[in-house]
Amino acid sequence: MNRQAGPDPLLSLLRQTADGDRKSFQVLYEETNHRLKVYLYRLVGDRSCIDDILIETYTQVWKSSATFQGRSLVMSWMIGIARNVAFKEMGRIHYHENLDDHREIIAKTVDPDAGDRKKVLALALAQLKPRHREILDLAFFHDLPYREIADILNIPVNTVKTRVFHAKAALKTALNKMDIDSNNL
Amino acid sequence: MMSKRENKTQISGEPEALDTAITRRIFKETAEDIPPASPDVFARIEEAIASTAFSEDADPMLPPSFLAVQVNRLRDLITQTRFAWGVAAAQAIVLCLFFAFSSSDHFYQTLSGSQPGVQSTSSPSFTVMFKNNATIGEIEALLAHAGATIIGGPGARGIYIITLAQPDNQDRNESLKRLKSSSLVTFIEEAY
Repeated sequence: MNRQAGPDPLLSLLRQTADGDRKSFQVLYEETNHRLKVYLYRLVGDRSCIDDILIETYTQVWKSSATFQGRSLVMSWMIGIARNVAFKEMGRIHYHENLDDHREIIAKTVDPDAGDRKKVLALALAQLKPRHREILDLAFFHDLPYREIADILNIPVNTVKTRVFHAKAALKTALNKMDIDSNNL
Repeated sequence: MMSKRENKTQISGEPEALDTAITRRIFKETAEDIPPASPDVFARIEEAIASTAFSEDADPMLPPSFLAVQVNRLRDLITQTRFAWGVAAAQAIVLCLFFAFSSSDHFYQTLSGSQPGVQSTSSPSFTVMFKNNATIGEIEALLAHAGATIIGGPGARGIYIITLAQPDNQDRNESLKRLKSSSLVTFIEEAY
């Protein structure tokens, strides 16, 4: 894992937000909204509701900033809030019962030889189970330590390790099925 | 540029995991195409927090409690159209069973009330109860002796409706006396 040592760069922004500083809150938003959106993009099937989930997430962050106790990174805390909001939203509109369900994948025909590398990779990610996509996103896009991921997903650290391994294997299989040499990416 | 796999041999058994560096590169690269939230989103957040007070509630990162999850599931269930139709169907079945298994014998009825199925007659009718151990033969013999005819019953509680054949009041009273004095009769009153 790539967690950088040192103080959490978002912590002071959150503390100032807790003091009611709107400017700090806006900076916190600007620093984090893309990362949260990427997380939600990979978690939620219906992209049209991502903005609504973001708005509810940041509203919760504003309201609860004073309750943050520093037991995790601020980013992990915010992802945890976004996750709960997303599940509530998905439950309300009857998407799926849990992350183990396979999501409907938007059918796309992508030709790896056409040079559209990102589309091919995105399609490979879409083949993954949502829980695999989520854990790889947390581990390799957000670079969160296993302990933080375990807290967000509410599972033991060892389960995180196992799930990461299986998720990586699943991603390799997905790439192989698309005739992509994963060793040459 | 991505190269196609030259060797298409299938991986047998447990597939080996993708290299960590490659996995990281895939996730970073594919995130680049996802745009940041639009300025409109922050405007909506500002609107939302303008009317929101700071909360002292539990940490919102914590997943909802088991009870809250069950309540949410129940709420989702009862708001489903399928569930509403299910409830309506169940109610219809219960009503059908109720009407199918209920009969007139189960209805409450006063002793003096008129019975369903009682034949209409111009002569006065009487409500009669006989002793539990009275036989049909004994009852028939008594009624014949008194000039009475059963026109209704017996109900669930053994109540008969009878009429007396005598048109004359005096003869009718005589018949009533016979019936009242009989050890087979426990109750007799004019029916209204």
